[in-house]
Amino acid sequence: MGTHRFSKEKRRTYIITPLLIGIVSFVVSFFVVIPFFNGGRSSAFFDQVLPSVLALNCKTVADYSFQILSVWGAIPLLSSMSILAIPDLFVNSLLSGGFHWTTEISGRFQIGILVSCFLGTCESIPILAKYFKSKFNIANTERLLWIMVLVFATLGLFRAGPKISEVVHRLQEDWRSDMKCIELVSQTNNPTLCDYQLCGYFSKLRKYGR
Amino acid sequence: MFVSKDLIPTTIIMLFIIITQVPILVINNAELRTWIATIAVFILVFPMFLILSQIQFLSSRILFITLLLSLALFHFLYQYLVYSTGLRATGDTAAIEQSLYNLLNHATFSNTIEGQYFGISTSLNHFAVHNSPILLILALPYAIYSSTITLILTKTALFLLTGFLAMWYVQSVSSTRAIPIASLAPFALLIQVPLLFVPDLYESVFIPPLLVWSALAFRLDKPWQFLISNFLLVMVKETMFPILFAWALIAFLRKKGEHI
Repeated sequence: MGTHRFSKEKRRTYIITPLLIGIVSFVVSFFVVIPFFNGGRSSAFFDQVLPSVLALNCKTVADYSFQILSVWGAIPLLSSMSILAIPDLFVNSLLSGGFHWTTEISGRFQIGILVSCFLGTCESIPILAKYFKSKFNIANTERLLWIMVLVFATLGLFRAGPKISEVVHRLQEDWRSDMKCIELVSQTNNPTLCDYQLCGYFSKLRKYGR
Repeated sequence: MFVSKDLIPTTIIMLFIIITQVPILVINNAELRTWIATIAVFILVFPMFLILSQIQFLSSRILFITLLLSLALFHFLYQYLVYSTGLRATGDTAAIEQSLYNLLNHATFSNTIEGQYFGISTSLNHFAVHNSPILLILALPYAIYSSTITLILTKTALFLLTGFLAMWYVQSVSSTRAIPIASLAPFALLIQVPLLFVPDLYESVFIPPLLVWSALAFRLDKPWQFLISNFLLVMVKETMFPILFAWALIAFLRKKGEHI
């Protein structure tokens, strides 16, 4: 564990492998698969995401970066592993127009950021342990690790707790409005799939599409 | 003591989850809920960790597994509750389930939901919207038992897999025997993942296990595992290629002779 060293050959392997797969995936996805199944039309990437990249608002990226740092602190930045968070950071900012409530609830776009921050934090543990051991003479690294775990648990719950409560309250509100909507739609003569989708009623949607 | 000592950690964790959720669910003032939840964390979490750390018979590995299984159970029950009560619109789950149903019954991975975002009311193949062939893996469990419960169970399984991979990752970073206790850190991470509370299934649920696996392969110098995990990552969605470029950048920045 932790004894593998980065030789020239290894470095080449770990640079070329993801680059090649990434390039091939980009070409196949955007120029073959999606246009083939979409009747020759291009992906939404070119219509929506790319123009957003070109008109990138630095403030949204900065806002989002600040939010992430406020949750995780700067610990992950000690490791280059935090670079993995950058693609999701940009995609997030573009899709959400900044860090706002709905994106935070969905969490789907920031999943890469969370995992990357975790990996960066893990890589930073030995660096921090070494530093604190020499500076503060902590007898073993276990205490330091416990402190880190406690800090993360606190931060995680501090952040997740209120969010969970909001999600639950939103669920209740959605449920009430969905039920009212279903009732109104069902009273019409010929309800369509679109009508049910407006209500967001899952079971109806699922059955209707078959 | 009339209760087995083995039940203590599970009991404490379940109590912890229940007690911290009560004010969140009952109180209708967002600011007040925040403060109460925070105070509850300070009152409950710190002594809990300190007490558990003093229990000699409880290894960190058992503690971690108990925590992770409790969280997975909570995850499954929450998702099942949302599904069974129709509490929430879950358009993506509906689209994916419809696609899986059509794949198994009509040999086409299409649904009538995703097209409506683009004004198409007829059935549209999922690949016309996203290149995410990894979803085809779900066809296997879905063929065995064609129900949304199967998808919820699969999501829970992926959640558990991420937790265990994260634990191995922490151990791979470690060079001392004390570090395994820090494998509790993934637990803290997993609490943070809002994905846990999203009653929906979509491609992104495959990202956490695959990303942690690729990191583990990178760290332990397993080129074939790294290649396979990278390959599977781009199968998740067409927008995954920048993450792979980030991997190349990380490898580029690592100095020769440095630990990986």
